[in-house]
Amino acid sequence: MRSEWTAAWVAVLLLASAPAGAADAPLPVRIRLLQGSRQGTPGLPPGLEDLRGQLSTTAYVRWEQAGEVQATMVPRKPVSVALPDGGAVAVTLVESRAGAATFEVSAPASRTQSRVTVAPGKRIVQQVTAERGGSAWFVTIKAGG
Amino acid sequence: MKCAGAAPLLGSRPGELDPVEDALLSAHLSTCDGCRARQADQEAVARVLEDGLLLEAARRDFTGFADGVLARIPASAWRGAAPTGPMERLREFLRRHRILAVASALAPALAALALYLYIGQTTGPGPSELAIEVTSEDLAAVVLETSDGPVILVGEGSDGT
Repeated sequence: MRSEWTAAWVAVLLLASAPAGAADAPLPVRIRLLQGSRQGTPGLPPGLEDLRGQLSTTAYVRWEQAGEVQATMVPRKPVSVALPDGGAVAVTLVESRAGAATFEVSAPASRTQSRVTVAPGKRIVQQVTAERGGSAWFVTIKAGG
Repeated sequence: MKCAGAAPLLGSRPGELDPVEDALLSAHLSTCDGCRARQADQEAVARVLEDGLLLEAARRDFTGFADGVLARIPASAWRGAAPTGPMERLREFLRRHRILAVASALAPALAALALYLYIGQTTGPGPSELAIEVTSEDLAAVVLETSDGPVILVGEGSDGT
């Protein structure tokens, strides 16, 4: 009888902890730092082709990738992406669960903070600096690597 | 068989002797008057004792004997005794319905598992973004929704471009 109760409670505890464990699961994330310019010859490097659909919605016509960070992120542990001007952007995985991941992007240079929930495979494109001289810096975040 | 050998066998109860001893004793008694007389004496004494014991027992009243014995046995010693307190009654119920008890314990867990799996299935491939919240101190923020995901722009203009 005692063993049956023990087994039942162990099952309850395991099941109760399952959703919490899934919510804190590490998530491979690809973060790219881009510079977008209004002037110059329009162009999109081959490495940014997957972003064409999103980047083409903006008024910036020339794009270049300046950096990339690939990390296995865990919730509430920010990843810092350095900007050429000495600043940095902090990307934090707020929550990761089946079918959705929530990221927080803190960009002190533009005094902007966002919290976006996306499905796996989708990308976030966020401007992280104000425009200067016709160009601005962006980060793209893709959950799932 | 001689008298010395027959003496220990005298007064034996029916069936107590094996067939050989019984045959030897019967043969001896048929030829020995002394042993036959001792045998008769012992049988008479046994009858008197038996009658006396029965008579003595008959004088006692055993009407409440069984009830008295049962009354002196503590209730806790009874395997099937009726439980007294609520916890004892619960324990007794669980002991008698083990499968029901385990099923009761597992039911919420299974329900939670089913809900978890259901939520996991329903949150599969869905909209590109489920929730967007942007705060900017002094720049206008614009969110463009595309099939690949959101584009968040900031700038002096209202459209961020």
